[in-house]
Amino acid sequence: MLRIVGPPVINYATHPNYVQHSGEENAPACLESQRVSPPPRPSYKREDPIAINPVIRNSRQPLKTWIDPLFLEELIASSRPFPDADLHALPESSQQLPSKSASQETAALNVNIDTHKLGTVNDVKTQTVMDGLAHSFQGLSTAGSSQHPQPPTLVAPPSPHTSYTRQKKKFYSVTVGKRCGVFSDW
Amino acid sequence: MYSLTGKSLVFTLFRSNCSQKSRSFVQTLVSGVSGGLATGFKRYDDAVADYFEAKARGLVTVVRQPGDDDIFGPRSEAEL
Repeated sequence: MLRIVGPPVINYATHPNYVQHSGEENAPACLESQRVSPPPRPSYKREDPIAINPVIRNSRQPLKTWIDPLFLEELIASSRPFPDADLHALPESSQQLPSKSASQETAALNVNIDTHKLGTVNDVKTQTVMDGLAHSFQGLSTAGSSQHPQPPTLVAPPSPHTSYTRQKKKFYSVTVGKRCGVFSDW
Repeated sequence: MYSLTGKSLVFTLFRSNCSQKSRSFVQTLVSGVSGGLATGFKRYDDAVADYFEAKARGLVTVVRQPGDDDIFGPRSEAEL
């Protein structure tokens, strides 16, 4: 009778000749101090050209097409020809107007702009405000034009090199050989 | 040496480094043959035209050595 017997099973944990080595007891201590952490791997992540280009990044922000009312109030306050002067010192046409808030003044100025009535103190204010607004709009327009010189152009990734995988099939006419004829070979 | 066109690739064996490279089937046909000739073309029609032109001139020669019939087939079928 034939019995197939496998290799003997050895219990290394209890075998008398087996000594477990961790490999660190023989390592000199100087090597531990000389062990240097490997340099960080370079990041192959593709950098976003929009994120690193401030011009393109700013172009993503929408244009400021509205005027902050607080900014407009400050502009009106700073555009007064006599900031210390009260409305009592103004002519009667302007004295008729009660003291209003800045937003109400803005509404009044808009009325003056629409009616094109010049010659009053409010119209002087209107002219000054309009100059300031024109200046601010000009700044916005020039800033916008500088931020939009050209649409962002993304660089296409390079195409893979195919010369290594491309093979040419050749046809051979064997006229002197062990076999003669036309054979194709890669 | 026979060559019909200048653009064709003509190689004869007995090169020094030929045994170092992997040989193709065409190379085995002309290896060990004195004056063995295989002309390469990019197009099949050019290769056929070159072969039949050489055959019309009587330049096609089958050279066999002992034992080649077992490898490359009988001599009667060796020529196109």
